[in-house]
Amino acid sequence: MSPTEPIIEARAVRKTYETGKVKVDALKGIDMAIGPGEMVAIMGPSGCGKTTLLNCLSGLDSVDGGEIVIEGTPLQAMSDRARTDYRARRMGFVFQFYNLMPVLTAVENVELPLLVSRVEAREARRRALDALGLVGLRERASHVPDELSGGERQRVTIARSLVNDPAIVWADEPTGDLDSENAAEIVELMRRLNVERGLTFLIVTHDIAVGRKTDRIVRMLDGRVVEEQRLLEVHDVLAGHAA
Amino acid sequence: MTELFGIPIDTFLVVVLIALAGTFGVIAILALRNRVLVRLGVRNLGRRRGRTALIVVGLMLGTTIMATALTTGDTMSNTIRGTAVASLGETDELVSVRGAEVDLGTGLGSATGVEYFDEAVADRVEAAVAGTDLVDGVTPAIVEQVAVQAPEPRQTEPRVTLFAADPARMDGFGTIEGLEGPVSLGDLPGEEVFLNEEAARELGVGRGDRLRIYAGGPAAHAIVRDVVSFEGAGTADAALLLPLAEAQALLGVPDQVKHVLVSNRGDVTSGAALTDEVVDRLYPVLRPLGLDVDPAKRDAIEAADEAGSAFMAFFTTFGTFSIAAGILLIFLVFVMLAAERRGELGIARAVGTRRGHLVQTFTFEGAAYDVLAALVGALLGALFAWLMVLVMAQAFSSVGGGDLDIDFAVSPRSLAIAYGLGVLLTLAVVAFSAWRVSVMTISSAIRNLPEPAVPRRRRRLVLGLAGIAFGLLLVLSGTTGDQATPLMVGVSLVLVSLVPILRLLGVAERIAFTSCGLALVVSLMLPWSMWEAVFGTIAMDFSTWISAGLMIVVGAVWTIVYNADVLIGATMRLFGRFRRAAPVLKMAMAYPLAHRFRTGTTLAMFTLVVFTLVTGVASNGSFIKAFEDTETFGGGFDVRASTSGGTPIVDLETALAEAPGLDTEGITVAASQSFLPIEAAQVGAGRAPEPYVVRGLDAAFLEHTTFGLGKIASGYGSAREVWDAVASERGLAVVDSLVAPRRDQFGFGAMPDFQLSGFYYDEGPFEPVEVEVHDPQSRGTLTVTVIGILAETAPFEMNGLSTSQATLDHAFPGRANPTIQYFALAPGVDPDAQAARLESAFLAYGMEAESIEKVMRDAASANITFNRLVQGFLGLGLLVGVAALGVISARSVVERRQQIGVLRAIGFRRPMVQATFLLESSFIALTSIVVGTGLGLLLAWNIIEDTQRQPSWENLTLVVPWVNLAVIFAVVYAVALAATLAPALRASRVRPAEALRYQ
Repeated sequence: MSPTEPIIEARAVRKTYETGKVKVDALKGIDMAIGPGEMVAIMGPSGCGKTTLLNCLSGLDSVDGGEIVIEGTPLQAMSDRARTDYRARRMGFVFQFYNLMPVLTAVENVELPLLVSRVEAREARRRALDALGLVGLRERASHVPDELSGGERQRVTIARSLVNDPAIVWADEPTGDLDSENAAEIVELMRRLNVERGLTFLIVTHDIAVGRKTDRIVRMLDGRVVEEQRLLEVHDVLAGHAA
Repeated sequence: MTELFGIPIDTFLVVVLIALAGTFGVIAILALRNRVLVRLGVRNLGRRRGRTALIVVGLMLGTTIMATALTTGDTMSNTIRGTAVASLGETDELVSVRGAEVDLGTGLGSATGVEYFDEAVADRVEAAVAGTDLVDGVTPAIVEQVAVQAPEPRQTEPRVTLFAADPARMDGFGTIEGLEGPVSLGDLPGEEVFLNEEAARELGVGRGDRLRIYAGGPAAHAIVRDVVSFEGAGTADAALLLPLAEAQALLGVPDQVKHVLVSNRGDVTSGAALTDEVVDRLYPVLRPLGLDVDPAKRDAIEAADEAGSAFMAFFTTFGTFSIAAGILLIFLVFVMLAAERRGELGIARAVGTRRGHLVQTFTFEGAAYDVLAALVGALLGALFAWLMVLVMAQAFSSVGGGDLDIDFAVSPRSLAIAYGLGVLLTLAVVAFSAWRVSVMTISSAIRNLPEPAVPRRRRRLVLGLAGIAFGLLLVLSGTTGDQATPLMVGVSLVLVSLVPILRLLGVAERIAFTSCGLALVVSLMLPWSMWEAVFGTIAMDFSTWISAGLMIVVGAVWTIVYNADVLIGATMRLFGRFRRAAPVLKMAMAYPLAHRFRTGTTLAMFTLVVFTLVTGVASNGSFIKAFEDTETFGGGFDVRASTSGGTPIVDLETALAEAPGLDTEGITVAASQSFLPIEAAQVGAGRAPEPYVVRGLDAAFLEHTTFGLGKIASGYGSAREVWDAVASERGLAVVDSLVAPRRDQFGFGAMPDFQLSGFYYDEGPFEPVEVEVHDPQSRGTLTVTVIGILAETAPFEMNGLSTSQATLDHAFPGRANPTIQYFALAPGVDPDAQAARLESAFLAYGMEAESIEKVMRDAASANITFNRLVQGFLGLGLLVGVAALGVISARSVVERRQQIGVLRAIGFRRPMVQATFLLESSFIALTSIVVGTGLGLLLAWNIIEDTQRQPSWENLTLVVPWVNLAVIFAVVYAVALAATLAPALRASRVRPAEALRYQ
């Protein structure tokens, strides 16, 4: 894959949920491409298909139509096992409710993806502590999630998402459960990692403040992409509204 | 069955039913007042049917174990009753000379000199009950043992019961069914006899076949007229039936009979209810004639019920640990159920539901599960009991040498008790669990956050001090009353109550629980001798074992749970280097460590059962092994034999010399015993005489025997000295260990009515004891001085007072002739072959002979089968542990759905998720197996060590059936994994996108 080729590409992606007798078309032919090192926000009202799109793009969920290509490889061509291994090696995840393992300490949570990737235990611990250091939580390494604040937990989640040096980090409402101050810190952190380490971020969010920190905002409505805006254009729109 | 937990069983039933009715009444009133709460509680049953099934299984196990124990007792009682009924049929009372042996077909040897009497006594008996409507049959009869030979198939049966009655007076004694319909003894012309099916089968004969009958004199010839089925021929085994007159001619006792049989109105068992009235009427008529009336049927029924109670007591005692584990399981199930609904409960409280309402809702739900579970449990218990008695029948048949017809019985009473106890126990635990979960911080519950720690210093202090005070009171009560159970419970309570006090003093949780846990384990595992060194002599029974066992497991589980991180750290260091295993191991060990309550409860359940199983099996196995010694079991002899009471061998030496075709060169010692039913009472003890037996041992026996003594009276230095004294001095005796009092009570079986007092078999000195022996037939009296008590390893066949033959001959001339023979053989002589030769040579005496080795092999085989049965029964409790793992795993899948989603998202493959769940269960199951086995072996070793200091057991050694245990644990571990497999598979199929969608 050349540096200019998209790292993630969705072509006419469709996804339908069946709940009893009701069919819901969650994604109605999504086309999208995200370049390496890009930070993209997906925004839209509740139920528009943002999280479904993230799940499908990351391989957590299957699609009913279309194609998703990650780093040049079609996801549908991979077995469940191959997709799982790929996630372990090349992807990181950040969730709204942190989803840390409550029975593990911060450092154990962070090192888990490394152990899954069969990194030697001592090396995994060293890298996990480095990752915690990167998010400013090295001194809280031996605390379990219940002993951490919401902001700290989300930083642990971010440390976990980048510890295996992934190509892509998927973040689903990463600031949804945080106050504005903590939310700003988390977005700053993600942006810094994006810039300094060249990580690709795809962030699902309701929060325009988060969107403003990204390179591009993709707006969705009723399972379709209805608008894509570069950061500058967004700023202009916001400024116009303010005026 | 007569008693349960020491309470008359009918009283127990009434108490259980009243308690059940009261409980259901309260629930019904509450339900009528709060119908909404009933609907809220009960609707949960249908919401998750799989879960409901799992809960029902969890709740029913305690009831199953109780029902199994009770039904086993019922069945054994019924089986023994069945044997009595087969032997006695419609006969309820037997009129015989006083002191006649009426105990049909038990033990070794028969009484001799039982006098015949005039058959006209039957008329007097009839007259005594005439017009009363109490009796529907009276007949004069002879019941004797004879040897029978069938010349054509060349089969010989040395012991067949000859039953003869007056054909004209057989009304009321049931029908004799021939192959083509009812037949009568009156149909038999001279020389023709009936054989019952058992005798025909053993002899291999049928209609028209010839027989030779040996009844002491020359062989009499007979022809089989028919093969019949008849209950009441005086035996449940082989019988030969003929008219009274023919039998009198055969035996040379014209107009004489041995019994008058009396059949009460009613069927084979209900007639016994009239026995007291019948005996009251007959006694004045018979006493002047020197005759006695024996309430044979009622005694047999009572003996059967006592045997059933003994079985039930045995299985309920051994089942206590499994029932305790079952209670823990119920508690765990409901606490986890409540944890699952914590959010719902929090919201319910927030919108105005009172705590009492939550308790009621849960109790209604629990009652619904409970009513169903106890019913299934009771029925399943009956099924398990049926399987168990099949195994027992096989075990006992190998001892008796024949098939034991198991009469499976489930009494509604037993099922009602098991059901009632199961329901009440479960409801109590459910109500407690409901109360526990209703105590919540509403805001935390709504957000599903952990319950904030509330400082309860005052409560801890009060609880701790109260526990210590009560514990010390129990210690005091135990030491003053010399009772081990309150003492050990008291010490345990003090140690447990120290935990809150230590925590208040600022001691870390780990140190407080670990130190008290270890103290519990160590103190309760100390050899009994050390306890006695501190507290003086203390008496133990099974309740000591149960309470100590429970507390040992509590101590061990505390120690493990509060130090599991060390265990896990070591495991990780050991296996963590395998990179594939590391993440799975980390998750599998982290969860049990984080959930101390459920891990501890499940560990306790599993460990409790494994501990009991290992202790029971290892100690039982060791005792069984102790019996497998021909020297101990045979008393220095190689073959033992017995003849029927009608044909004693008075002079064995001459009889051997004259025996046709018998080579006596291989016989080095030939010894005899006589057997006399008597009444005995300890002189000066103030108790009434009780029926017992006295054995007359001849000089050869006394000189040669090596039967060990468990207790030797002061003034004698060894067992040999005692036997020599019995031989040389008239009036000295040895008695079996069953009649000796004990401080420690570990027995289950019914003891003889005749008991000694004034000393303890298991400790302290033993001064000679005088016993007055009365022969009811001759009315002679003898006072013997007991100077030794047989070891517990002596065979059952030596039970009774054993004195010299010379003593009996002097005291009761002609009453006790030898009917038991013991032979020691020269090296190289095959005892089995010699036994067969003896039987053949003494056929006319009805001799039955067996090698001691064979008797011991049969007994050992029966014991081993029975021990395996105990293993199986105790193993039932392991189902509790397995069910607990299933419940926990199922709950964990629901609880960790999101976490499983995250694991899948960050790279856990499906098999890794499965492995995590399976390893979690493995951690609990394997830890329990290892810890339970370790503790069980330690306690078994302790028991063996202590027993070695007791009389009889100096050579006892700990024998661990490793292979059996390994097989049991491998199967249980596999089943435990299987129970976790379904939840594990479900967990691995969790789709990450769906799992992560909602908080």
